[in-house]
Amino acid sequence: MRKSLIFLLVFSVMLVLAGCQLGTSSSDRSITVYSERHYDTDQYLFDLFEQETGIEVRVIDGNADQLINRLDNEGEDTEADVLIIADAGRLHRAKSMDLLQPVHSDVLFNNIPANYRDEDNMWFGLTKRARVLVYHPDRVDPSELSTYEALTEPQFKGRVVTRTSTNIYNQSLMASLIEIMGETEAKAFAAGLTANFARTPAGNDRDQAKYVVEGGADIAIMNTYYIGRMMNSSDRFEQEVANTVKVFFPNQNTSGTHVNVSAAGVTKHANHSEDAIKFIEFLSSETAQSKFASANYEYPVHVNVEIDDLLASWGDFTAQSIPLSVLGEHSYRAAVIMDEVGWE
Amino acid sequence: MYVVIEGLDFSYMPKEPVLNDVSFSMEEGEIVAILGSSGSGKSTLLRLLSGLEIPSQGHIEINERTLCSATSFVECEDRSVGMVFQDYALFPHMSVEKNIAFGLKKVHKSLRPKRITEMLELVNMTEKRHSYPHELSGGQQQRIALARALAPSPSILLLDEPFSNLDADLKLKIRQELRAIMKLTNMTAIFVTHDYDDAKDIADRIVYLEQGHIVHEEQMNPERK
Amino acid sequence: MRWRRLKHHVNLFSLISVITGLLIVVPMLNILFEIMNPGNETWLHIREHLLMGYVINTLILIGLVAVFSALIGFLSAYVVTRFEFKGRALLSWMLILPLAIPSYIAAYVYADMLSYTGTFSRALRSLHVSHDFNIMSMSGAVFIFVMTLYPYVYMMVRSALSKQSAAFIENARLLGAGKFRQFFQVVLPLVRPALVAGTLLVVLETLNDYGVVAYFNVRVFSFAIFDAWERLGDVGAAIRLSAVLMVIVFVVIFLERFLRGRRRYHLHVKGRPIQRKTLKGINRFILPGALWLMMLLGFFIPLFQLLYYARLTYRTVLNISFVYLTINTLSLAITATLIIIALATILANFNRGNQTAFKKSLLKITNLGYAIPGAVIAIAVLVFFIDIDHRLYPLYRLFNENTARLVLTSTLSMLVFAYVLRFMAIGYNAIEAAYDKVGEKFTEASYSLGHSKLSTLFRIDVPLIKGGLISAAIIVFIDVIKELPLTLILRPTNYDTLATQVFRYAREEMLQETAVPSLMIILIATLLIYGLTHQKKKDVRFHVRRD
Repeated sequence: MRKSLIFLLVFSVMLVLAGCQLGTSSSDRSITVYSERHYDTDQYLFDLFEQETGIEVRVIDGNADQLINRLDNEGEDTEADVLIIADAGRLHRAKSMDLLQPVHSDVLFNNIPANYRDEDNMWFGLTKRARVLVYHPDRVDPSELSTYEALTEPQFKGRVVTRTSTNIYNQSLMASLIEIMGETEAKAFAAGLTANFARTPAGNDRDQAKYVVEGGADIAIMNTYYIGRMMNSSDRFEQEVANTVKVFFPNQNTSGTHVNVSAAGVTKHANHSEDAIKFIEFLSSETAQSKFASANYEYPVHVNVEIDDLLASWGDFTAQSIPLSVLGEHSYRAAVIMDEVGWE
Repeated sequence: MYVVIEGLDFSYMPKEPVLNDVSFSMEEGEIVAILGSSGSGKSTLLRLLSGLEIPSQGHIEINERTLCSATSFVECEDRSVGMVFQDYALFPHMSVEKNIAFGLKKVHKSLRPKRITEMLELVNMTEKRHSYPHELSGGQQQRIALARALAPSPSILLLDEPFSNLDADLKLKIRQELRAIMKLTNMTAIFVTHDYDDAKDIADRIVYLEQGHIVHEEQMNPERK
Repeated sequence: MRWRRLKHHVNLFSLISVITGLLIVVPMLNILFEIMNPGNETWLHIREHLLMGYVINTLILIGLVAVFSALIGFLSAYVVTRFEFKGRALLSWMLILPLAIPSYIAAYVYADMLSYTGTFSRALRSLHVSHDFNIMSMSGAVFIFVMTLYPYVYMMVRSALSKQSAAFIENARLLGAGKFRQFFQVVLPLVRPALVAGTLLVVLETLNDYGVVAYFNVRVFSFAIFDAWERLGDVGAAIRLSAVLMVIVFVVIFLERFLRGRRRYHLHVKGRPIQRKTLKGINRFILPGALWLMMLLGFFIPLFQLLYYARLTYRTVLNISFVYLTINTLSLAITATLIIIALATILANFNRGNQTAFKKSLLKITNLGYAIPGAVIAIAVLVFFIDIDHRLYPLYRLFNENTARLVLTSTLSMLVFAYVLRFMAIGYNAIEAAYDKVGEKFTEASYSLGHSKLSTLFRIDVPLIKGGLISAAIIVFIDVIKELPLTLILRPTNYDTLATQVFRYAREEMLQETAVPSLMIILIATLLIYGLTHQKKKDVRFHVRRD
């Protein structure tokens, strides 16, 4: 009894030590990244950066709000040097909470178009996602489709599906519409859209596409890169779904398709801000950008980088031209409006 | 006087005293029975003597050592008080031998086996040395519990309803044995019971306890000593 | 007289107990102070448009989950303890297995199976049948929670039923009670405390869950807390909502106490256990069949679906970092479990004997964590640790001039502390139950034989409650490896566990990739449950033979 207890104790101490070791390998130069993105491609790029510069990249991932809250709580003692978040609105929130610092880098200014970075240079967009209409070609003629706003018309009653209002993609879409059409119009849009829903919103983006193929709805509002990812799914039935539906870029003749970015900023209290800038510059470089685009079905922000074949097959599109920081400015009102019109 | 108890008060709940101003004293080697119905506070008195409960007021002294007063309190483990519990509380995961050895902390390791043998001989249980408690009958368990309590040579032995789990025939026999063992070792002992026959057969003196008060004391036939 | 009493009470155990209590209550106080602030615009918005829905949905969810899990848990325990049939022994422990599957994993799997491309829907389509059961709904969430949590009720009721003596039933028969009255007036009231305690656990687990309700868009309180925090960006409103949730929890607990009143059911009656009746006729198939169906729904279907996904994805997921992930998870869970069990033993030890008001309130405080959703605990612990680090900074400077300020905050100790806060109640209750069974007499006998509290703890108490300690450790361990929100928020940089890996894939809508880490969690938990149910029962008798 006693022997086995001692054995257990020694064994567990060893395990704990091993665990600690695995948790924190150390290197002379390192930066800590708080990232909401956690794709295998990202890790691949981080490793590449490490190889090229010898700067170790430590990552803590979590969702945007947890990371921002943590950064806020840690104050000037934070270990984080870089904050990466998949939504411009949330980066704006971090900026307004005074968690970021301005960066003056000609490399970044050259690589990233002005509307995809913060006007005070607090954050820099790295990849773009477009929120589009996905439809079933048997039941929808693309000529029926035009804009987001048109979906509120009576002929779409019970034919539209999208995920919940709690989802950041929808919140940002609403925020962009508030900027473009004003709050009253935007609210009317939200109310009209909610009235045309084929079901109470549930599930993730992929589920919306599946619901369209299933026949529950005809048109889904969803992000392009999920279609890309479904085409490359390990489940061949998901591939089937992705191959059945078609992509439509709305508002091409008006305000443009809603686009959001994943963006990075250097934290206000970064201990390694130079390395942090180097890291963001690396992510905006042509090498990294082509990787982002090809492996994760996102659009690169770098104008010189070719887009992935699949994305190219859907054609070019005009994006909303608003500066993305407005997504953050209107995100709260967007949420309130969606609650008020009963968009679940 | 070997044992002096003065003005002992105790309550579990405020305003519901279990013991109220209990005082009595004992000579060395004397056996006292505390006789009372259930709820009279007799078991509580034993728990106070052993140090398992703290009196709200009062003074306890055994062999000129103050165990409890207004300013001091000796913990149960430091009192050297032997106790036989109502259902014996023999450690189920230890053999008879280990149970007895458990109290011999202060005895040198090399001397322990001898002491254990002595004790087993005293209670006439040498052949059960390696048995486990659940393999023993109730009467046997009681004897082992007695041996275990006596082994560290306590200054006083406390017995809580020692016969409540025995049937009538056995009870008669064990009463005699118990008194004999106690007198042989010149042990000062207090035992609580609700049975007058138990008290009369074993004790030198009976203390009657009713609702936390001592109401009467009865000296038994002195020539029996 | 007073200080003498005090001195008697001050020892290693009471000190550790009080310090543990303080450490648990201080972070919570931080949260409570936040509630004192007047409500802001966000709170007004929530109150006007959302709060009513949250309250109603929460009550519907916990009401339905409580009723169904109590019913299923009770009936399955009843069948297993009262009837004899083929496979009974096997079912008797396997019915606990659904606990090995975290609710959020079951939710992902079922949602996927019932989605258009899912196995189930495809199978039906090939038969030209379509189904409209929408699992991503309130009823779907009820189904998931009941199927994964009913074992709490089952375990408790089963143990109560198997301890119930035949004497009660026989007495009832002698008194001329019919079968119906026997059941409702004797069997049911006697297992009621176990039934209620089990159901309460299920309700608390349901209130804590975030994974299922977020995925199914079921708007209950845990959902609301995250939503206020994330979408509306208002931590204050989130904390306020958790305060409302805590009120609901306390009402539920109080209601249970109130209903129980002053009746006591724990009569220690010894005697023969009830003879199991052999099932005859059609019942031979129906009753075991129903139990196997539940096993299928709660365990085997999700398991096989995950195995299928694992076959699709193991090549990309199984690599060296997966091994590290598993080691991380195990070492973290072992550390947390050992600490929780040690502290819970000390607390349980401290709380034996006379119940003073102080002890009672300390106990309530240390057990509070289980009723509070993980997300709230996470915020509380983070704020608390940053504060501690600030206070300890001068001390750190003594050892290293250039030390970072947030030393503890960047280590695992923060996460382990949060686990202690959250799971103390589970460890404590299991250990307390074991202590109750043993009683205090052995401990007192040890004191009277001159052994100190510490020596008694190791030589008498621990060996006697060993079974209880092992059970407690296993239950805590399973809970820790399944835990999600705390781990997600409080882990150090570059530190992943199996649960966070599952969540990470699920958030990226890569359900197939969640299979391998999910299966690892299920495998570990299943092995532990097997160990728990097949613990060698040494025939240690705590009660004397009476002859």
